[in-house]
Order: sequence, then C-alpha cells, then structure tokens
Amino acid sequence: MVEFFQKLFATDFMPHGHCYFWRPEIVWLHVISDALTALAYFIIPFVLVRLVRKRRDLAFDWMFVLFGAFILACGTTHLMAIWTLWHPVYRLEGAIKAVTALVSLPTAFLLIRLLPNAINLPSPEQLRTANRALESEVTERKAAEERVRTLNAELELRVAARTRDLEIANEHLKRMNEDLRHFAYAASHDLQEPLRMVVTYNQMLVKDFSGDLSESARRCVGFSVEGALRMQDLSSGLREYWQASERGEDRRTLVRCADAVHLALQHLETAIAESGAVVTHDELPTLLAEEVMLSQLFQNLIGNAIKYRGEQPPRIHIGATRNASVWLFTVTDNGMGIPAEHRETVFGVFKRLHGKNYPGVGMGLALCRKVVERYGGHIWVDQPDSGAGSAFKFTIPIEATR
Amino acid sequence: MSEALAPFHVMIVEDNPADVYLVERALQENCVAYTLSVLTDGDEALRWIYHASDHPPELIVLDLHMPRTGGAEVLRAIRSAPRLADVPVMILSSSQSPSDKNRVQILGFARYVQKPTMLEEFLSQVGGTMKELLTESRARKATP
Repeated sequence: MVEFFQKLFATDFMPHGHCYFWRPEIVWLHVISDALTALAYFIIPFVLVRLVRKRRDLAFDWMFVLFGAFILACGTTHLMAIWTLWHPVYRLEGAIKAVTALVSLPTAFLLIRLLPNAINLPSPEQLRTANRALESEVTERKAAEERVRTLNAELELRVAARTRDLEIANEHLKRMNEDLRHFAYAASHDLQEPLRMVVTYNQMLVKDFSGDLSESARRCVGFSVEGALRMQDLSSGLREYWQASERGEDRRTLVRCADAVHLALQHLETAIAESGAVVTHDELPTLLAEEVMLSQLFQNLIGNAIKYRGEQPPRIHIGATRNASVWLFTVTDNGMGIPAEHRETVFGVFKRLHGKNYPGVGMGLALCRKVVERYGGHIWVDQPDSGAGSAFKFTIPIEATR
Repeated sequence: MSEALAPFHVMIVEDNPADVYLVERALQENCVAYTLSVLTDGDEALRWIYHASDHPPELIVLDLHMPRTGGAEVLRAIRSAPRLADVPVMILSSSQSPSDKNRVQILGFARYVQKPTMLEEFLSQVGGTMKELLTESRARKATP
C-alpha cells in the first residue's frame, strides 16, 4: 500500500497509446473526445455553482454542489485518460477514478433519497396556477374589505343621522318641558290676579246694586264668585305642587322631624280643636331636608286624617322605624279609610274621592308624593293593623338626607 | 277749615285701574277725605321721584308687580330721595310668596299688605292700613 503511494507518479508501465498501436486516427479520436468531454464537464460545475449562488431560494442546493463535484471528478478522469496515452501513471489514474467513485456513489444514493421530494416540488405551471388562485383570492379579499369599509361608512352615517334625530327629539322634549313649566307657573301664579278681580268685582256688584238685583241675579253672582274662588284654590294647590318640584336643593338643612310635625300641628290648630283630635308621635329622626316641605307633608297627612275622620274623634299616630337604608314613617288614623281600589289614584293631581261636603282641590296627597319623591322615597297607603282607618307610609333614604 | 279736616293727599302707583278703583273705594269706606294722584307704572313713578318738585303726598300706595320697573325698584328710589324721606309707603302685593315680603322689608320702611280676594276684607284691611298711616303721618307733621 505504501509502495503504491510511493510510486503514484511512476511510469513503470507501457503507455496506453501502445494498445492503439499508436495509430494516429484512434489516438486522436480518444484525445479529442476526452478533451471535449472534460471541457464540458469542467464548465458544468461552474454553471451549477453560479446558479446556486444566484438563486439562494433554490431547493436542495447542496445537491447541486455535490453534483458539481461529481462532474468535476468525471472530467478529471477523462483528462487522465489523455495523459496516460503517453505517460502511464495508471496508479494516479486509478486513484482519481476511486475518488470519482467515492463522490459519485453518495451522489447517486442521495439523489435516490431525494427523488420523492423532488417529484413533489411544484412545477412552474402548478406555481403559476397557485399564484393565479392566490391573486384572485387577494382581489376578493380586497373587494370584501372595500365592502366592509363602505358598510362601515354607511353605518356611521346612519348612526350620525340617528344621533341627530335623537338630539332634535331631545331638544324638542326639553322645549316642551320648559313650556310646560312656564304653563304650570302661569297657571299657579298669573291666574290668581284675574280671579281676584272676578271675585272682588262680583261682590262689588252685589254691594253697590243690591237693591237693583233680584234674588236669582244675586244667586247667579254668588255662583260666579264660588267658581272663581274654587279656581283660585286649584291654582294655589298647583303653586304648592310647583314649588315642591322646582325649589332648589340648596335650602336643605338638618331638620328635626318632630319640629316639622309641631309646625304642622300649629297650622292645624283650629281643625284639631274642632274635631277633638289627638295626635301622638314616636321619637322621630333628624333629616337633611327642608323644614317647610316636611311640615307640609305632615300637615297634609294629619289634615287629611282629621278631615276624613270617622264617628270617633280622630286618633293619629306618627311612627318612624329605621330599616337598612331608609327611614320608614307611618301616619296611622282611625278615620273612614280608603277603599283598596283607590289607594293608588288618591296620589294623583286633582284627584278626590269626596264631593263638596269635604273642602279641598285634590292636591294634598299629590303634593305629599312630590315631597317624598324629592328626597328619593316612596309613599303609599295601607290599612292599619288595627283594621279601621288608613295607614300612610313613606320612606326617606338615609344616605340622601344625612 | 281746620288742618285736621283738610283732605289727605294720596299717591298711588298701580298699573291696574280696577285696583286703583278698589283703593279709592277703600278710602271712601273708611271715611277718609282724600285727593288722589295716580301714576300708572313704575317708569312714570321714577320720573316723578327724580324730576317733580311739587309738595310730596302724605302716603304712597305702591303695587309690587308692574311691567318693566317693579315696585321694589320704585321703593328703593323713594327711600333714596331726601324730599320723600318722611312719606309712608304701603306696598300692595298680589304675590303670595313670602320672599317678596322679606325683600320689601329689607329694602326699607314700608307697610306690606297682600291684596285680599274678598271685597270686604280688601276694603277693611287696605282702607284701615291707609287710614292708620295717614293719621300717623299728619300727627308727625303737627308735632314739631
């Protein structure tokens, strides 16, 4: 083996040309053919290397490199065939062939391994089709996006239009509300004066022309006066109601409910004396509220209990219990009571259950509800536990009045 | 004719003729001899307060609610005119709001009367108050 490599370049054989008997046509046929083949084989690897360099994305690029090496080796064997015609270095030639074989065999083997993958590589036609599909998909997607954008813009326009409609409606409502407030103010304040004129001058008519008026003429004037006075009462009721809903919040102070009750009792002094009513109350809380409002509330409830009394002298009791978040007040009486079917309607504006034999315009309980709602509470009426009479109950939230 | 029996000079500032007539009737019902000057709105009253130099009346009756210049403004002008310092003023108001009464009391010396609806009450209350103020006014003038 050592000897083989020592004699690698030795020419101790017959030149190959002897095998051709140095016949020029055979010798040159081999020389030219081998030379041209070698030339071709040497060019191919350069082309492949260039290809791999330029197309970095090429699949299996290592295969091209391996193939280049294999062809380079083949080319060298052809060159050696020319050389050995005159210089018999058959050992070197054999060694080069062995190297060629060593390169060729793995190349062939790896090529076989690569075959399924190579077959699966998409053809340019396939790529073009795929590309076309992709392009149409992109176009479709763009169109869809455009549609979404258009729809979005339309939606925004619709929302804007709807908002504008709502704003207009809101403005309209505000204006109507304002008109209504003005109307309520006018009905509760400005009607007073003309009504006073009607009453006063009708009475003046009777006073000055008493002798000229017949009995029926005087009755007619009397009815006019009665009507105008009643309308004045209605207008006053409306004014109190209007004040309960319009007065600002800034007048709230700490008010002892007991004080508000006593103020109400002072105003009801005559009615209490005449009816022999007895009004009692529990310990009552202190609330952040307006004393005028609270006293009006108690005055209406106590006043009603006296006005709509039963056979017995009125017994009225005011209680207050504290629940989780509210004070619950009860005003209980032994009066005639309210039939179940009317217990909601009595709180309406100008609602009355009785005729002329009980004075009033039907604003008292409406006013009570307004006051209670002003402080965030509710008011309703039940039958008392004892049976006869009414039990008016209302809540006042604790946190709103502390 | 003695000083005491000379007619009282009353001035009324009132835009409603029906109320002017009622005030006159109230004076008559209370047997007050009077001469009446009528100013029909607040502006006219202000002009009179600032520019006239006639003998001041013995009582000014002032309506609180008048268009443009209200009674409160007129009262303020009266109270800042030295010539009218001693003249009693009676405010006649149709308003039932207690704030009006307070406002008038803050503004200065004046009697506040709310116009009653019933004729007889009007005649007695308004007439009685006017008579009282006029008598006091003349008594003050008589005593040096």
